[in-house]
Amino acid sequence: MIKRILVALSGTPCTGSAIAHAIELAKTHDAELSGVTVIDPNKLLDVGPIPIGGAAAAHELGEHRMHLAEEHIEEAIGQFETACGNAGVTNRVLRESGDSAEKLLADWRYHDLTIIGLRGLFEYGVLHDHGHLVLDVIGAGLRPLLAVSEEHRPIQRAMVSYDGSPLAARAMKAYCMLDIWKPMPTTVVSFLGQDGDSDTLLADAASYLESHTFSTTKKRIEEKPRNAILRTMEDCDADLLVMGAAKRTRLGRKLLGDTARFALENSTRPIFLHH
Amino acid sequence: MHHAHTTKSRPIQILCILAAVTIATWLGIWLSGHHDSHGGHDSHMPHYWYFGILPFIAILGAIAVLPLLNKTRHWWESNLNRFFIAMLCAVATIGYMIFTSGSESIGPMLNHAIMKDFIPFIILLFSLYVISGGIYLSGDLAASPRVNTTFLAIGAGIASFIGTTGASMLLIRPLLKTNSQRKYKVHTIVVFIFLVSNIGGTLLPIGDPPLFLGYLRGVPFMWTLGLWPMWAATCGVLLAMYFIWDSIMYRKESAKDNKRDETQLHPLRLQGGINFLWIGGIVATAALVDSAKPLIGTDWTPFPYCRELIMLLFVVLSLQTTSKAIHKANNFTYEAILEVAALFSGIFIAMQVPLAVLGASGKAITETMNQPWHFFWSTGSLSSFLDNAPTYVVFFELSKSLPEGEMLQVNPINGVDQFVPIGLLIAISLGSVFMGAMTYIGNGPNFMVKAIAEQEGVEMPSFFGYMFKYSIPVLIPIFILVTIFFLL
Repeated sequence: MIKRILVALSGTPCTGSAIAHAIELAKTHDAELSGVTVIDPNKLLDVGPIPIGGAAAAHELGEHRMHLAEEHIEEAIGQFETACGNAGVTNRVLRESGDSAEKLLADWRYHDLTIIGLRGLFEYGVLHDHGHLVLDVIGAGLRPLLAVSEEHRPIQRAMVSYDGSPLAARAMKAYCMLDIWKPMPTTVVSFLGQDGDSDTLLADAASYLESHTFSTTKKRIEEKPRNAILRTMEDCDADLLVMGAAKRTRLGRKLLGDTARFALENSTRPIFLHH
Repeated sequence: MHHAHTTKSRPIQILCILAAVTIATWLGIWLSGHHDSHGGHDSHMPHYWYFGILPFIAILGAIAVLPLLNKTRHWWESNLNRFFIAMLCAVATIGYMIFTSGSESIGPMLNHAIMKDFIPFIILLFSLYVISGGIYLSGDLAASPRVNTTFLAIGAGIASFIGTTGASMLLIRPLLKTNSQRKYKVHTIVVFIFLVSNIGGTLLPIGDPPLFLGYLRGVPFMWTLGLWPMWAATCGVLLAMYFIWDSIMYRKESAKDNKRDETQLHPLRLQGGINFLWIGGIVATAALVDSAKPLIGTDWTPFPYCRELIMLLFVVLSLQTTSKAIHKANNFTYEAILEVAALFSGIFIAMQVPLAVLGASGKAITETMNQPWHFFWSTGSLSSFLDNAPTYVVFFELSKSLPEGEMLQVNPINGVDQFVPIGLLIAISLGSVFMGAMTYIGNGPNFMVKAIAEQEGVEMPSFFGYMFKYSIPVLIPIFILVTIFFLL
């Protein structure tokens, strides 16, 4: 049961879409929305090494960044409150200050679902971490998570990336059991490289989804998931990608290929993550 | 506008005042009895020298680290606190010297550090800073590769005459405005830093602070003009490369942006142009007024600090003839120059022990490091990350240990004539000025330009992004060519 949804008001191009998705789900579940903003003074004021004579410029730059971030925050809050008001959704705003990941995780504890934008969290036109914070909060265990793209499209079809691993199984089960979306046409896809027999895995997964009243199709792709996952999603015309995600070490990510990371960095459609 | 950053701490204020007054009193007493001494360094290795160089390392370390730590960043924003650290290092150096060389060594050391280095240095920087801050150039031209290249060429041309900081502050805003409609402009700002904030300042001692320190040590004012072949070659290669680069990037711009760029135009408008006259006065004063020799064409020898007094007079003239609106448009405050003054008051004292160490061990060091290209890359490497002024001085003093080849006579020390090999001096001058462009911290204006660009919405590369995407791939090959053609 979804009763509380946390939506990150990040001041990125995806924020509007995150708010729209959050409102849709809030109306479906009669849930309340919490819009969270986080301003991180340490990050905003950190302008890097400063030469002799550069401190005044550094101070001005830091102040400018704080001011800009505050402007973007007010803009995002205004956008959130207006959209919620128009939709008649109960809402509140959580204004946080401090480490972005810590603050988001602290608020996440008391919410059933978190919605963020892909490729940027709490940047407010100033910070450009190219999605690293998104990966950090996912790595820190922020689940279930819906990461949405800039373009807002209603979620009517889904694709489950399934390799038989416990992580993938948990994501698929959460997709079914949390009832976030009404049962919708879903394609289960297996890629090259998973353990065990693909056909059996796909059949088992499809059977599980169908027992939860999802109409299911199966697809086997003879390519590595990193290479094919987003293309397959488009081929299936899926509006949502369901996948497991685990944070790996930098070395591990390089050796194994981190499909979740790749998808988060490149997808133009929403991703539902769980583990 | 800039504001006071922190609540002032009274104990720190009192300690700073005490340290400054003690140093000034000591110096005053010593000067009253030793008018003709040149001060300077003995050639013996200071006892326990490894303790003696700690204050110098400490102040450079503080400058590098304290602004980066969350716990100290805010504290370090205060010029009073910077001055406190500078005075701590100065007092530690004085304490070390009393312990190892006796109290009689302090007077000559302070005379050298404060009277001969710090005061002329800071007054020149202050004068250029204030006067160039009174010139404001505005406008928005079509940001074609030709216009951008012309901007950079003009900047590289005037940097030697108004200082790299002055040229950077004068041109960066109109350049940003000109490129405001363009999407691809980071490369333009980066090459601006290369050319205007650094390499352009090679030709005169007032172009870049290390060259002025060389001038204060006896390098003739016009000597740096002799570096024009290296300056012209490097600027020429960079400008040609930039023109091609920008032409490629220009084609990537959308037709809509190019259309906006070509239609949203404002002609260039110069305000406060009279300050060029005062800057000309500064150049002439620096070139002609020297209390060590008669004024050209006369028998009159200027009294000590006559040069500095004249420079301050030009500052007054500039302030009188410049409207406040121009200073406001330039976002002009005294914070940056106060920061330089606060830190260099300690640096010049703390660096006396390392200089004495170099004086004593120079021959041993120069057994392995004795070629111009050695000095070019050593000076340059350090100048990339540390302030290039003390770096220049360190290698300048070291080069005196190599009495080979064509020599340039510089200021005597303790009545003993001093000579610097010209080949090494060229290498040190080029290394300290050119390689200041390698990082954002290699030279003060680099960071100022980056900060202003970011405030105008340009997503500038990070510290390492600047190095690995731009300065290393672009500048290192050019510096290798400079080495091959001019220093081997």
